[in-house]
Amino acid sequence: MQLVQRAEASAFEVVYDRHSGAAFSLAYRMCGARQLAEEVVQEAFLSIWRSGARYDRHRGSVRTWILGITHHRAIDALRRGVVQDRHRASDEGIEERFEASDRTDVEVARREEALEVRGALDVLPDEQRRAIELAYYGGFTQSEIAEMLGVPIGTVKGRMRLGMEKMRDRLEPAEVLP
Amino acid sequence: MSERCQHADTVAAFLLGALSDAERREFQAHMATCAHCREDVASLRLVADALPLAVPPVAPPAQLRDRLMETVRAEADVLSAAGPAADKPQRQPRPQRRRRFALSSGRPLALAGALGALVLGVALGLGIGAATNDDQTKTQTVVQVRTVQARVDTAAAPRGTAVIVLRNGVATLRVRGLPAPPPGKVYEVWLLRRGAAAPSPTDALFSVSTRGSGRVALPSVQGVEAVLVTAEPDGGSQAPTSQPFINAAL
Repeated sequence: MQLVQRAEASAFEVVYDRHSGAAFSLAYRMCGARQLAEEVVQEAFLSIWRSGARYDRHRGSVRTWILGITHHRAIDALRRGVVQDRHRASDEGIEERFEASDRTDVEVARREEALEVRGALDVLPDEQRRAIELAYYGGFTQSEIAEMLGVPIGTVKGRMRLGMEKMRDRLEPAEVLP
Repeated sequence: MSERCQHADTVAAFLLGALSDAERREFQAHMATCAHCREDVASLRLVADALPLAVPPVAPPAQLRDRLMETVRAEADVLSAAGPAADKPQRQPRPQRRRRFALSSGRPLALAGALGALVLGVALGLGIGAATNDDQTKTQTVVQVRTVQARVDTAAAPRGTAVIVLRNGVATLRVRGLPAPPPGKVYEVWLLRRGAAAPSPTDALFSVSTRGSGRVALPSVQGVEAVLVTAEPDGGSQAPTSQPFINAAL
């Protein structure tokens, strides 16, 4: 990211090639439409290019940073009402899937990581998993989720919190006991 | 946690992006004063960071990369061209400032912020600032840049990209991935002025390198609604003889 900070296009290209797959996958999962996902990823990477110096390595990996920006951009796009179809987060089977074809070691590691996170989500009680998915992938606010599910907002908050705590316990590296 | 903060349940919603703008601002203000919530956020953040990794992999289209990199290269060129100018800032009288700003003036301003916050596609203002502060002077050089991505007809140029770069009001068209013009033809730029029924011809005629790239300076684009490109017989035409395959709405 040092090179991006010096405004070098070729360095940015490397960053794009390394992280655009994960960013596009997230945007596509959230938006449910290729064109909107492309716009979101383009906006996210242009903002990264134009403000590369704001990356703070103490606050996490480059990938986490880029995916965080992509997530924010997708939420913005969804809340601007670009997508009419408001059941976007619940579509379990997305019709179009474009699997990345190269199975490099990194790719394999990524897939294992994805399985692990997916596993941590899948073992949650349905209502907790659903609240988390509607919020994170659907871009819905807690009030919208409460309305959709017909439960008080406090219940939605509680489900998200409990679900995240359980996921943390599964994903966190086990502590070494004394 | 023995003393549970009443906002504890908002932590998860905050990390998942499920707060409205107003709720988020309120919670951020609260966090600034609540160590419990800050700790909570730190401890659950790994879950929010992991969630994007669980989605099915979908490969981004190659055209997205082409479009993005065209804009990035255009802006990188402008940045590097601005380098020497940025090294020789003009001296300006130091503006009157309040004391509390003066306190921080010992620290050099980071060039970081100088890359500016830009908005996608239209009305980009790229401030390239070389700013130094001392007790006598505050110097700054600013280059105003706007980039506009053009639409390229994929039937005519499947991998083609085109960007208009406006640097301090001077416009340049940059293209990549275009096929060479047909034999005996050349690419011609047209300007569609506001309120005009037909585009006006320009003397901006160009071809492309063997790799399909090229650039051409444009006449003033003041009052211009769109920049168009067609393939025309050598020497150019006074009225388009083919459909525009590049269209940049300014």
